[in-house]
Amino acid sequence: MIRTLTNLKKNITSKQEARLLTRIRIAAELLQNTDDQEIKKRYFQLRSKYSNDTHRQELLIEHHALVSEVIRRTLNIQPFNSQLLAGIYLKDGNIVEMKTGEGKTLAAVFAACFHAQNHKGVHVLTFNDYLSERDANWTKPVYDFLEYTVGYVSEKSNKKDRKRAYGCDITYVTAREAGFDFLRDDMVYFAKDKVHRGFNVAIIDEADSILIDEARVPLVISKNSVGEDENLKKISEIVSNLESDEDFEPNPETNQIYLTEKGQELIQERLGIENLYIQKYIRILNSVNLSLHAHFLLRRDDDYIIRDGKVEQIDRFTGRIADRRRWPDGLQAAIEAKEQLEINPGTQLLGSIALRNFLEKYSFISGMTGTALSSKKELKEFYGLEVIALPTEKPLIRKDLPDMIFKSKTQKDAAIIDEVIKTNKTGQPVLVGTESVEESERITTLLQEKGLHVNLLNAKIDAEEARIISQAGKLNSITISTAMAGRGTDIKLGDDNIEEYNQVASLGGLYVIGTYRHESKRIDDQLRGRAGRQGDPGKSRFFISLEDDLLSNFGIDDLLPKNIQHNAATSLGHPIVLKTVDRVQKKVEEQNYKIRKTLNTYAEILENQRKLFQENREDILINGYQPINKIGTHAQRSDLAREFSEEEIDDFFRIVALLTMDDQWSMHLHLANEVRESIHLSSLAKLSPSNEFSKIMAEAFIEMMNGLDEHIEQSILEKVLDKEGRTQLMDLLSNPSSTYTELITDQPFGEWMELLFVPSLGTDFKLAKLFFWPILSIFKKKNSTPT
Amino acid sequence: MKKFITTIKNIFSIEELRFRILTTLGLLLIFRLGSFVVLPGVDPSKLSGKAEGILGLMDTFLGGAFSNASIFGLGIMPYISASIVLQLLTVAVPYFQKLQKEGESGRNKINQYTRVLTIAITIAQAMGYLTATIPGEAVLISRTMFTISSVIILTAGTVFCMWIGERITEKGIGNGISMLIMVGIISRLPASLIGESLSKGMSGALLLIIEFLVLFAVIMGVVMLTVAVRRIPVQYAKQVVGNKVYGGQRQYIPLKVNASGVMPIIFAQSLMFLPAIIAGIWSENSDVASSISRAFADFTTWQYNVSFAILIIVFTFFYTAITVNPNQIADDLKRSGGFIPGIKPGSQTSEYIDNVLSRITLPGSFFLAIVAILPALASIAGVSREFAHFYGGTSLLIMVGVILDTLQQVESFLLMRHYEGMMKSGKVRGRTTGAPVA
Repeated sequence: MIRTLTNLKKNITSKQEARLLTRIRIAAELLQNTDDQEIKKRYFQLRSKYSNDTHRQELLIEHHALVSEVIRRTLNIQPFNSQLLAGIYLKDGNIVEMKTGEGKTLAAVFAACFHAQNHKGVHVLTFNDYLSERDANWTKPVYDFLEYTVGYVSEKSNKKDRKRAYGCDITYVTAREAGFDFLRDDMVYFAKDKVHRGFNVAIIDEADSILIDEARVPLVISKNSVGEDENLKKISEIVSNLESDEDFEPNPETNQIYLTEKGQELIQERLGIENLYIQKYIRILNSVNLSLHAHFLLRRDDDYIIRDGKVEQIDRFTGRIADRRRWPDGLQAAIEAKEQLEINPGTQLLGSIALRNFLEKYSFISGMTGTALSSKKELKEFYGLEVIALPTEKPLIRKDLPDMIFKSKTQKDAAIIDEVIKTNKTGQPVLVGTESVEESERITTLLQEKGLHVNLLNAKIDAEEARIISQAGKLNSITISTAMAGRGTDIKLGDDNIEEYNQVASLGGLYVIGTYRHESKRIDDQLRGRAGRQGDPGKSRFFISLEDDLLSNFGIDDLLPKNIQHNAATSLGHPIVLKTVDRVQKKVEEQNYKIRKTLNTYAEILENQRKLFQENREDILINGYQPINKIGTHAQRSDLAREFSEEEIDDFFRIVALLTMDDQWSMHLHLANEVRESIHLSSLAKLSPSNEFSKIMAEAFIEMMNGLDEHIEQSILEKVLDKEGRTQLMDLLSNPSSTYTELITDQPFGEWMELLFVPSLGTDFKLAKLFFWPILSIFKKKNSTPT
Repeated sequence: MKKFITTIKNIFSIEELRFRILTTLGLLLIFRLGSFVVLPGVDPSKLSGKAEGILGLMDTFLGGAFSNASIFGLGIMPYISASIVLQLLTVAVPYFQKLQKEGESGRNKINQYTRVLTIAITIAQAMGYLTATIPGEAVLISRTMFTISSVIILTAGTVFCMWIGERITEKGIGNGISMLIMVGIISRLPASLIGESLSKGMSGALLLIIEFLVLFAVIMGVVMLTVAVRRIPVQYAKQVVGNKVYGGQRQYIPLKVNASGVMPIIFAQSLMFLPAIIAGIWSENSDVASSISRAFADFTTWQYNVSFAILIIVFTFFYTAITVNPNQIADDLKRSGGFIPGIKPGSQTSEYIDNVLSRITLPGSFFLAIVAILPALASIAGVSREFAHFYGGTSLLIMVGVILDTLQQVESFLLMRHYEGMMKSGKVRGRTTGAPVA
C-alpha cells in the first residue's frame, strides 16, 4: 500500500518535471533565432526581477531556457535533458546523482548562473586544481556572454589572484583550497589582507566524497616549531630490529601497535635507561611509539611513496598523492627517519577547521556526484540535503556481474591474470582497479611476464594520467590502476574514433575488474561507473579473497559457516558467501558512520569556540585595541608619539593584540588534542566522554578569554612600549614566519573513538541487571577472563 | 538561591531544552495517569491492599501500579526481563553473537527480537499477575472474559510504557526506561510524606523537622557516595610543541568509589528472604528455627541488619570485581599509548589499578551497607515504614543515580547556552566597540 503511494508520488513529480522540462525546451527553441543583443537584454531584465522574487517557476523557466541557448551558441553544445533537470535541482539545494559522462560540469553552469544573479558570489567546488582551471576556462564563454565574471583558484595562485578570483561572480576552486584561504583570513593583521568576501553559494562536485569521506579531515594551518627529538634516528634503528609478536604486538584492524614487556626491556637495555615509563623519558617513549608505527603499520608504496627525497602520502580514497598532507604528532618525522631521509621539524598548530564545518559557512550548498543514493540518510542527517537520482540520458546497459570470491590472495591474483588474458584475446579493453601502488605494480609485472602490453597508472606516474586514461577505452588495451581511476575519470570507448568505438562496443565495451571491496559500496560503484558511460555497453566484476584486509580485519571468518570455508577448493561462489561479504562491507560502513557522527560532536564543540573567538578577533582587526589598564595611557602614548604617528601606534597595539590572541588560540587547540586523547577514560566513572570534553574545554575557553586582556597588555608592554621588543616586532612583521597549510590525517593511531564504545554495556541494561545479575555475572566472568 | 533561579531561567530559555523537558514531563504524566486507570471489570474497593516480598519490591519500582490492578500493572518490567534474556543470548548463542557484532543493523534486529519477546513475557506474566493479585470477588464480569480482555490490555499497557520510555530517550531528556522506574519510586513520596506529617501531628512538629534534616543529610551522603571518584593520573607520550609539555593534570583514570551501584543491595535483599522461608519450614518442630524465622521476617531486628550489612559488603567486592576490570583498563591504556607515570604498562599497571580499587572499595562497601540499613534504623527511630523507605536503600540510590544522569544532560545544554551568552556580551574588554561584528 505504502509502496503504491510512493510510486504514485514519484510519478507525479516526474510528470511535473517532464512538463517543466518541455516548457524550458520550448522556450529555448523559441530563442534560437533571437539575436545576441536581445538575449542579453532579456537576461538582464530577468536578473533585475531576481531580487524581488526568486521562487517563481516562470523565472526559472526563462532563466534556464536563456542559459541553455547561450550554451548552445557559445560552446556549440545542446544541453541534455538530464543536465537541464540537474540544473533545476542544483538550484534548489539538493545532491543530484548523475552517472559518469552525463556532463556534470555543464549542469553546474545553470545553477551557478542562477545564483550569481545577486552578485554575492558562487563557488563551484571542484575535485582538484586541474579541474578548477579546466572547467573555469571551458565555461568562461557562457559567463562572458551573460556578463558574469569568472575566476579560479589553484594551489599555485598568489594572494592577489586569489582575492581577484574570489571577487568574481563565479569562482572555481577546490573545497580544501577555499578552506585554507578561510583559515588564513582568520589570521591576518590587516583587514585588507583577507581574500574571501563571504560564503554565499557552493556547488560541490563529487559531493559524496567531499561531504562524507573527506568531511572529517581537518584543514590545518601551522608553523614550524623546534621539537625534533635528537634520538629519533637512533631509536628508529633500534625499533627496526624488533621482532613482531615477540617484542611488540601489532593490531592492523584497529591500527594500533604496542610493545610487549620483552620489547620494553630490550629498548631500555639498548638505550641504557632503567624505566621508559617515567616523566623524564616521555620524549623517548613517544619516539619509540612513533617509530613502531612507522616501521610496522605504515607500508611504503601503499600508504606513502618516496619522491624527490620526500615522503608523500597516498590518499586512501583517490589513490592520488595527497597534496601537502602530512601525518600529525611527529609521525611524519618517524617515517622520514625510517626511510633515512632528512627529518623535518615538528609543527605548531595555528588554526584548524574540519572540512564539514567549513562547508557549513556557506548559506546554501548543493552538489552532484555519481554515487549518493546509498548515503542518502547521512547526507540528510548531517547537511539536510536531499538526494535526487536522475535517469541517464540513455539507459545504462552495463552488466554488473556477481563477485568472484577466493580463499587466498594467490588464487585471486591467478584468476585475475587469467581473466585479463582471456578478455584481451577478444580485443575488449580491460581496466583493473587495484588497492595499492604495490599491488598495481605486482599485477602489471605478472601480466608483462605473459608478454602483454600494459598501461600502469598509479600515484608514482600521475603525470601521464591524461594519456593513459585516453587510451584505456581503445581496442586491446589493458590498464592497471589504483583508486586513481576510480573517481572523476571519463573513459571514452575507442577514444573519439567512431570506427574503433563501434568495434569496441560490439565486443561489449569496457570491462572493469576490481581487485578488492572498498570501505563503502559507493566507492565500489564509482569504479564500476568507469564502464557503461552514456549508454555504452560495459561490464564489471570484483575479484576478492577472504584474505583481503577489509574482510579479514572485520572478521569474515567468524561470520562464514565453517563447512563452506573448509570445503571449497578455490572459488567460493556460494550465495551465502556473497551475502556475507556484503554484510561485512555494511558493517564497516556503519562503523565509519558512527565514527563520523561522534567526531562531529567533538568538532562542533571546538567550532563553536572558534566562532566566538574569531568574532572577538575580527572586532579588534577592524576597530583596533585600546588597553584599559595602566598601560597605553596618554603619557605612554605621547612617549611613542615622538617617534610614530597616531596611526602607527594604533597599528602596533592592534597587531600585538592579534598576535597574542593567535598564540592563545594555538595553545587552546593543543590542549584540546590532549584532552581528547584521554577523555574516553571518563566512561569508567559512568560519565559521558563528549559531555566531559565539552565541560573541560568550556572551562579552559572561559579561562583563556578572561585572561586575554591581561596577556595582551603584557605583550604590549614587552613588544610595543619596550624599544628592543619593538625592533623584534617590526622584524617579525617584515619577515613573517612561514606557515603551512596542510591536511592532517586524522586518526593515524587507530580510532581513539573506538575506545569510547568499549567499556559501558549500554545504559539500557543498567537497571535490567538489577534483577538478573547473578546469571549475568556468570556469563560476564567467563567473558572477561584474560586471554 | 539566586544562582539556582537563574539556572532554572536559563533552562527554560533554551528552546530545545525547554521542549525536551516539557516532552518528558508530558510523557511521564501520561504514564502516571495510566497507573491509576483500573482494569475494566474490577471493583477496586475489593482489592487486597499491599503486595509483599519480591512482589512488594517490584511494586516499589512500579509506583504502586502493581497492587492497583491498573492497566500499566506490569509496567516496563517485562521489557527489562526481555532485554536481559537477549543480553544473555548474545553471550551464549552464536547466532545472536554474530548479530551483535554486526553493528547498527544487527543491533536493530536484536531490538526487534527484544520487543517481540517482551510481548511474549507480558502475556505469560499477565496471567500469573491476574490470578495472584486479583481475588475472584473483585471481578465483576465473567472470569474468562475478564482474563482475556485483561491480558490484552496489560500487554498493550506494557508496550505503551515501553514506547513512552523510548520516546523520552529520543525526544526528551534522560534515559526513558530509567526515568519511568524513578518516577514509579518517587510517586510514593507525597503520600508517605503527608502520612508521616499527619501521624506526627502538631505535637511531633519538632521531631518532623529533625526527620527532614536527617533525610536531607542522608541524600547528601548518597549523592557523595554516587559521585565519589578516585583519580589515578595518567600520562600520554606525545609530541612536544616547542619546549612545552601541556597540562598533564587533566588526564586521569577515574575509579568510582561505588562502582557496583545499587546491585549489591538488591541481591542481598533478595537473599534475605531465604532464612525466614527456610527456617519457617522447621519452625513448628524447633525453637531455634522459629526464632530465626521470626528474627528474619522483621527487617528491623539486629540479626537481620547485621547479616544484611555483611552480605552487602561481600557482594560489593564481588560485584566491583566483575564490573571493573583492571586488565581491560590497563589494556585500553596501553593501546591508546598512555601509562601511569613510573609504572610499566601491562601486568604491572593492572596490578596497580587492582590495588587502588580494593582500597577504595572497602570504605565504599561500608558506606553502601549503612545506606542500605538506614531505612531500618529510621523505622526503629519512629519513622513510618512508607516514609522510612526514602532514607536509603535501593529507592534512594536509584533516584539519585537517575537524577544525576539527567542533570549531566541538562548541563551540556547549559554549556551551549553559556557560549551564546558570551557571544552577546563579548569578552575582550579592550575592544573599542561593545557590539559584536556581524
